[in-house]
Amino acid sequence: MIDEKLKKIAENFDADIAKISENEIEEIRVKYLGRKSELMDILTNIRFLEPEERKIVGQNANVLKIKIEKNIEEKLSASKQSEQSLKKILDVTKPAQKNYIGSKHLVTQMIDEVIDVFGQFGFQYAEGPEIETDWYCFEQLNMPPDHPARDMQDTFYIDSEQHILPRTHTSSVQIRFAEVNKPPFRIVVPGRVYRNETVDARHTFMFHQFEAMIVDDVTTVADCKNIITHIARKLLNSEELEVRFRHAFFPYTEPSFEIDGTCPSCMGKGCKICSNKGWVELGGLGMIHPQVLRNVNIDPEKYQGFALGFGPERFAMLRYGVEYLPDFFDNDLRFNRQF
Amino acid sequence: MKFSLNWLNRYTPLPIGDKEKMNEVINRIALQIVDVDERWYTEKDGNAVDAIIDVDNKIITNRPYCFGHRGLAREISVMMNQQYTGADYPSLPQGNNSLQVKIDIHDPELCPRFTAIAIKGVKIGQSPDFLKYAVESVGLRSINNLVDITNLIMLDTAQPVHAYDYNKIKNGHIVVRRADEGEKVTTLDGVERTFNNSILLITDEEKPVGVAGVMGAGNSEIDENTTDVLLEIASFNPINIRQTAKFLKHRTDAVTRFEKGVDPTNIPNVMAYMVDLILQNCGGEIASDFIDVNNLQQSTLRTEPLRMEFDPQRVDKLLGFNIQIDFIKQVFDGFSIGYEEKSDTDWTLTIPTYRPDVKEPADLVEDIGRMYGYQNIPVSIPVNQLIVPARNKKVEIKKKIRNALLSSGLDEVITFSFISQNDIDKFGYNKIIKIVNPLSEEYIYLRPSLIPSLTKVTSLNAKSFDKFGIFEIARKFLPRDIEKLAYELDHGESMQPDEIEVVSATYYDKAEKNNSIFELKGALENLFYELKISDYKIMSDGKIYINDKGIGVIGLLNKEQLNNYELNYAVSYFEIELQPLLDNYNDKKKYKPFSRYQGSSISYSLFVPKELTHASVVENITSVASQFDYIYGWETTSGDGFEIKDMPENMKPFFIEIKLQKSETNISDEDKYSVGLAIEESIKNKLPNAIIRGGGIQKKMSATNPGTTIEEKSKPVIAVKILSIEKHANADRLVVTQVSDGKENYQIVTGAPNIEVGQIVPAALPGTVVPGLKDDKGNLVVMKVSKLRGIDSYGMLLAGDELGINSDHDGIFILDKDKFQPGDTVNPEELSR
Repeated sequence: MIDEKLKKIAENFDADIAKISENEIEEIRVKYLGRKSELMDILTNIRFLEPEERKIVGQNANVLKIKIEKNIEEKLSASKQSEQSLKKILDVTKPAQKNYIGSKHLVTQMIDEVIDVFGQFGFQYAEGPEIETDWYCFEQLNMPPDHPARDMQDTFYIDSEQHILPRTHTSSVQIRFAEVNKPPFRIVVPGRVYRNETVDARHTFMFHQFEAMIVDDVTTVADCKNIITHIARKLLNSEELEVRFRHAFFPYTEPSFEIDGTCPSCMGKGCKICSNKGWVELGGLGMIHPQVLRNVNIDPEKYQGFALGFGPERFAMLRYGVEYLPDFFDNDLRFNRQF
Repeated sequence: MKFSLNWLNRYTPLPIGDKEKMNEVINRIALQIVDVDERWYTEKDGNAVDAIIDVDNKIITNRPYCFGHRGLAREISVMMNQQYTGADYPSLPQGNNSLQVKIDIHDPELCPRFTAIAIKGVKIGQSPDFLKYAVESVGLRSINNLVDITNLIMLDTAQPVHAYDYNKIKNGHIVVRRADEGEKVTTLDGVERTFNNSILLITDEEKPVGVAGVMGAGNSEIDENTTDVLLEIASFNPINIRQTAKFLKHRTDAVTRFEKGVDPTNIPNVMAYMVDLILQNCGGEIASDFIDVNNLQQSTLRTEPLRMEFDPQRVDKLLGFNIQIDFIKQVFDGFSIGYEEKSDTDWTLTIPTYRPDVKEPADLVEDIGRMYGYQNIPVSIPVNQLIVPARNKKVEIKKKIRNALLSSGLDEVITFSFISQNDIDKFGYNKIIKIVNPLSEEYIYLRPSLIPSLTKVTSLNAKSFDKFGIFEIARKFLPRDIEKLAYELDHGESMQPDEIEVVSATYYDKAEKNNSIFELKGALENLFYELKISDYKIMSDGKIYINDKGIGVIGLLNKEQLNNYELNYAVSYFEIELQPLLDNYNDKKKYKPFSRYQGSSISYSLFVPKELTHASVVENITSVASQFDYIYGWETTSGDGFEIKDMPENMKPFFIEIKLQKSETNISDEDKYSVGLAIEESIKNKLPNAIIRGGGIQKKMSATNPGTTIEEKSKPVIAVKILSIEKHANADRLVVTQVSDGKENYQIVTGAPNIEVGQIVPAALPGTVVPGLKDDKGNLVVMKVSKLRGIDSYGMLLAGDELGINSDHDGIFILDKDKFQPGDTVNPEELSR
């Protein structure tokens, strides 16, 4: 019985010493060698045994005691070395093993933010075809054929009659959405647009726009100044930014505005980016033209609202200081991976 | 267009000389009237005597009067609430009738008004300083006094005018007619052009002397010998002028103004002003009546003031803040807009003809707003009710797709939607859509696939990177089939191309060569995994299916393609359609309870014929899966290309691990055995040439118990009842018990000190694996009949440690009599709870 008990103590000790950390060593010493430990109990009570048994048990118990003391000693000195040895075995400054993670395109990042930020103002996502008809892209937006306003947007065509075209702006989706939805509504429409313009530092024949539109019975110019201030602050990551409205002309809005924002790089003091004006152009905005509302069977006497068209590339350029627009579409990964 | 502040000052007072104040005015112009691209000052003795502003024509596109200084001066006068004299013109004096002037208009729709007057005895020479300065300050070249006057008139009033050498017009007879089809005319720029019937010509009795509204012909120009002039001021159809300029590919200052629609009712005033200037600066005398061929009832332009209802409250409702009625009236007065106040909310307005841009009240709200000053607009909080946008599955799924591909190490790109003829040839596309007016040969077709664009990006980046993947989510464009198109045309519907949104990717790995396709396939499967789409199949030809519907393809670019795009190593690609992903994306997932019991697995290592595809081997082996509801998956590897010593020719190694899991209990060896048997059967039948190298039930059993066949499979621990206890003849600590499993009695020798007759205890009978007992090598021990000190024991009564549930070895684990009957299976896991 006692032999078995010693065996059990030995086993338990072996298991314990293997798994403990350095600051638990003292606990283990108390548990196995302390005054109230099982082993000490056996050693103190050994005198009550038969002489023959006492001899054997005594020997075994003392052997165990010495073994335990020795092991604890070893563990203690090992733990002192462990910090040093960890450094020897493990050079944590070596390169990590990792899976490479790709970078989301900067324009996508901006568009994701656009959808989120406009979403906070209750705008829902909408989209439409990239290859549009003249009807949706121009006529319904108050630009009849041969209207001088058409010069504002150089257009590609895919048919010789010039009816079908890669859309020059996302505003065509305003019409498509409003045709089938009843106000009040708020939509945000990001997407690709195309203009027949030679590529240079500030122009590419394809780029992105996001369109946003509110139609209801109360939204005013002052409201949209509020909304656009908040949205521009978020998209340009510049909480101090202010916006100002400049008079502009778009056939599909009345009144129409060009929106300027405080130059995010100099905060209005004047710098190279804003040509010392302190303001940078953000995009166009206006109250939806009554004729456009009538075109989609919405009564302009009852409903009003605003529409805006901004460029995510433009915002990215202002926010990150990107200087060369074609970088967005060349996709040199040395560019893409910066963001 | 350029404007001179000094010139504007003639019609409304400006702080000329005070540069700072001039600058302030220009700043206000830029905010409230027209965008100012550039500004510069003319200084004399330290004083700013003039400022020139270059403005953005686009913003005044709908306000034709703003293309002249008088118009812009009016805007400034309203903005600054001050005097305006730009509506004043001299009156036309009477002259003699010494020169004959005759006008014939053949097409009054295209030319609804044509006025002319002849002046005799002018002296052509250098312009006086004021005139020279005026035209030059705004960017025109000074030519001679008479031509400069015609330019000044246009820049002042926005009305283009023209002066002919009277003696070069046969009989002073002007005929305005459409060109004959194919008629050739040499225009003022010396180019001979072939005209068509839609172009309006100004001719005399013999020859064309000008293209209406665009430019004159050299044959009737004013030169230094000119003494008599014929002055023309006309109104033309704006659309026709615009089309003519487009046809001639020639835009002039006159076109810019005519196409916007200049006020045709102001023509006599302009003529009076021009004659006045000529008489003063070139001499001469009026030598004909003022001829006015007026067909303005046929004009598309506004020829009568427009009467319009107006509710002043509308101003506040659109702008969102209060504007005083007095301010509204001030703006109307400034623009000469008449108003009759029938009530507070009902005014009748009279819109003058120079403002064709004002068609409805909103147009006036803009005027009132900008004259009030947009900088003064307060910021208000929208009061309308919050509309919470609906979830958009497409936005969601695209985010998930991007996440999956980005985490798989692919970078996102955005490429142009157009590709070249070469791209089309190299990829062999035949259903394509061409751009009629492309920018360059490089971008001439709407792309029917994203792969060519991605290949080009891959080629670019292969110069800098050895290993990378890219992806793009965008639309590809395919023509509609002819019948569909014809139908749509007949029904007045659109004939737009099909736009198919796709997810496309390419992968390039210099080191992995062709194997890079498996890295890309990994990314593709991650995509499916992220969307929790599991019903996809990738066939051996690279086609990708979801539920038997083709959704795309995965593959490698061919040699010719690689060469063409200067790629030296393999490029893999995939392209899949977004819509089927959207259709199969499950956003209404439900929790399924998963098993909390011990699972297990069976593995097989095989040699299979080389020609079999991996997928077909997997499919054949796992065809039995449907028979077992506790097979929940498998993992496979194929050792294509590995050479193994004892592998027969034309074979390849294959490994499969089949995972087992039950919802109610642990997986037993019996369960494993049944699956193993079925799998081996299936291999035998469906893959007759395959060789099982190892794994399965057989191997595991034989390792622990050599000689035991599958038939002697492991039995579970069972409950037995102790019937009797006797002392062991040869050992003090052992006893011999008789136990019953409910059917038979067994003799078992045990050393347990705590046993009593009638107890129900766990026993391992022969053939049972003792859960908590291992031999020297650490293998589980299968119970056999053995002799203990000379007495046969048919098994073992188990203590807690032998059951594998605790470390108790002091006595037999006593079972609860209420729960166990002799013969019941004892599940150690359950006991431990």
